[in-house]
Amino acid sequence: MLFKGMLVVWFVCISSASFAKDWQIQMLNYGSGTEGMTFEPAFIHAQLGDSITFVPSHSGHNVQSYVVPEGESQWKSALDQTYTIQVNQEGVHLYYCPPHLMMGMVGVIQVGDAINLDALQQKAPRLRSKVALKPERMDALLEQIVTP
Amino acid sequence: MLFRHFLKDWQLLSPAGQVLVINGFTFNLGFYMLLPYLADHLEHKIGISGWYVGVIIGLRVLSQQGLFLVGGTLGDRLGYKRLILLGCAVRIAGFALLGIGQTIPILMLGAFLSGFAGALFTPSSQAYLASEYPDPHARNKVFALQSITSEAGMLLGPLVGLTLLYIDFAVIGLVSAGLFSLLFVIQWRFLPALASQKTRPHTDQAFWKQWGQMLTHKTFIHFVLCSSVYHLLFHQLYIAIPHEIRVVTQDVSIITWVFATSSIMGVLMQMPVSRFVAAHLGTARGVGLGMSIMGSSYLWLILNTPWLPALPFILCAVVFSIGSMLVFPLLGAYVPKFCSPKELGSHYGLYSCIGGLYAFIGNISTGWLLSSSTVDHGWIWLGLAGFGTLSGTLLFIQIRRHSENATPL
Repeated sequence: MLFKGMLVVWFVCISSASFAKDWQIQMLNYGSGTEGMTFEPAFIHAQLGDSITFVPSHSGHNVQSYVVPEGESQWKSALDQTYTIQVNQEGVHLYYCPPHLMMGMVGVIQVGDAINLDALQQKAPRLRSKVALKPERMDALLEQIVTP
Repeated sequence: MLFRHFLKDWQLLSPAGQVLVINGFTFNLGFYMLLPYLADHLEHKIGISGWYVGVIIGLRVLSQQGLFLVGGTLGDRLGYKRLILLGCAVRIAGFALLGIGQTIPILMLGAFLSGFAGALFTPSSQAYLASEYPDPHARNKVFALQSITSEAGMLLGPLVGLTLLYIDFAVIGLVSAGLFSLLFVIQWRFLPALASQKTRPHTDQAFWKQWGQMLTHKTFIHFVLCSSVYHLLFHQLYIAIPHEIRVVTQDVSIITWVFATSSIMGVLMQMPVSRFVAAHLGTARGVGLGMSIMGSSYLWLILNTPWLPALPFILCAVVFSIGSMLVFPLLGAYVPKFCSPKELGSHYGLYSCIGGLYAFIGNISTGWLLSSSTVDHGWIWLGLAGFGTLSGTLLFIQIRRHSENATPL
């Protein structure tokens, strides 16, 4: 009986790990389009348990969270270092590159349902006010959030 | 057209003025022939570790910037010509040692002598030029002419240095030392001792009393503290811009384009800009506008143009040069308004010394901010724009108030 139980737990762990996806977000001075100072992709819709790795493909970047779902801790990487987070709570992460916020280097990760929209709508305008170049890029990212 | 104007202005100069304006070119030619390649030579050819390279380069900067006041004060007491000659002789030794030196003590001695030489001849050169042209309009013009020749030296120096580098770095050291030997002969043969220093009794005031008086001269210190922002802004061209070009574009050739743009504009546009200032702006507006434009030029760096990565940097260099052309000759020519002719060297010395301090603080701070993971780079450029505009406004108010009231400074 105990053996069967352990087998089920092991199977659940293995299967959830196999379904969790590893995302990669590049931190770039020049994106594939005409955008400069950008995360690529700047918007991702992840699922619970997924890992997201920020890769400093160009130097001079790091990443810091601005809004995280309830129950998640704020996160921040060191300059020019690869950094991985695992998303364990549903909701939206709004993040930015501190040295290039004024240039609009902002990104969004949606995990499952966007259950923290109120907090996001309250805090996002404050971040937007610090973006000097093309703040509409941030608006476009927030518009991609899938609402329940 | 530009060359004809330059030639016309040149012919109006006194023989001493001509020698001093040529000095602007030759000093910079010799200096920029060697300095840009020194760090690389020390690290990769001689094999000195990065920390010692920093000490050697830092010693040169420190011995120059820190001793400007000593050099200027000596110029007031011993005569500007003597100090210019002494400066050339010391630099010959300094550059020769840097060129052929293979050990750290020799290279440190070379670095110290190279810097100290600048501290000896720079304030005396400026003081001599200012004494030679007591009329403010003529003084502005001759400082503008010297700025052109200095820019030309700055432009040609690295190119000549790069060419000689294909032979050997020692050749660069010896050729630049040779240039200063030629300068020594030219000064000795063609630069007359300043007439007023031949007849006037040298100041018998103790130097520390003179320094005390300078430091408590409120209007002069106000001018120096505000105008030294010029050096803070100027030296970002050598620290912040190359760093940002490397990080953002990964194309270091853009650095060369930025320096070339700045120097070519200086050579081609300095006199038309100075004529425009004399005809339409005047000193107060020229200085105020120039400093604000210099500072604001850094705002171009907030722009990011993936379709032409060099664009923000070139725009920054173009706008910066316009500001610099407006303000640089005016600042240098304004210093004599704060002192008697026999104290010009000390005043130029303090002016350069504080400028060096600002440059040092600016370089350290910007370097630290650019490598921080929490500071938005946009704030650095906004800060530089703010410094430029604030100092420009304060200088505008000070100079306008003085010219309106014509009160002694």
